[in-house]
Amino acid sequence: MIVWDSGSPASHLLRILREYMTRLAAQHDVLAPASEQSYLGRMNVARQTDEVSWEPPGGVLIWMVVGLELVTFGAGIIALLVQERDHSLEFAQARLLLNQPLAFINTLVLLTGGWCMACGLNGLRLGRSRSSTLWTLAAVVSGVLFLIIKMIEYRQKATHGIGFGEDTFFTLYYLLTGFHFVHVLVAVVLLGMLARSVRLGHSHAGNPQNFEAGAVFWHMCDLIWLLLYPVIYLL
Amino acid sequence: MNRVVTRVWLFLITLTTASWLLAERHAAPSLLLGLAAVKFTLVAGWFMELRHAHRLWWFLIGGLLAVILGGAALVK
Repeated sequence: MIVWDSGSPASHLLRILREYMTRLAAQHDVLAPASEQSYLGRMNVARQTDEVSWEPPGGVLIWMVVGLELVTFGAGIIALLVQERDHSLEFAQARLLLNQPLAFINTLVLLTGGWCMACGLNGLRLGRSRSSTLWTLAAVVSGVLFLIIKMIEYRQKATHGIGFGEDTFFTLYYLLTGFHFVHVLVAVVLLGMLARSVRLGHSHAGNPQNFEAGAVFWHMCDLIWLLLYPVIYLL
Repeated sequence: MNRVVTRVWLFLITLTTASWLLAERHAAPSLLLGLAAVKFTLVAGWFMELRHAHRLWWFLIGGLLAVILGGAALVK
């Protein structure tokens, strides 16, 4: 073992090198505590050091997806309401054929799924893998329930002979809710993969980024439905 | 279980029930769209944790919400 005198140039050089490596590691989260690697941890560090952090939860890319999806569905919602202005009687009659109680239950189911996912993320950050897996699986169950209820609704329409091209309202209804249905389906698969990843230890308090991005995608389905629900069913 | 998130979820459930009951009583569209905006803000802020993010993201998402629901209210 090589021992240098504390005042020697070699020990001075070693100290500088150690400080540099520590600073470099802190910048890249290598030596940072596990909790500091999550989004909330990074934001806390940024606040303490007065740094401006532009990073949103889950990363910039997933929020670009959220923005684009909101623009797409927003355009569809405005298109539906513009059409309603020209065909108000037809739209009022078409809305009577919708199953409002099922849509109401579906909204509660989706919001409950969002709550489960938020609890799952909280559990992951606290290092409670089992709790996080169970909450995520509960969110998956709520997603599946949403899809089943939506399929019951579609089946009721089909039984009454109401198809995609029935009229302007139902064309837009199927387009908007169908597109949202596909999003929830993708999110359910994604959450299933995340639950498995937590169970296998790939996602944990020290590596929560994928989980955070998946949670944002899931909540995006909530956001879109919260806009669709009043416009299609309630107005 | 996170207590704050649980309270937000209960509030969301209450608001959803209120909006359904108001729609049954033929409430004004602007009121129903306003309730949707509140629910949207709660989900984005607390479930998606946007309240911890830089203000820029609030402005972007809030701006999109304002354009969509404002446009909807104007058209309606």
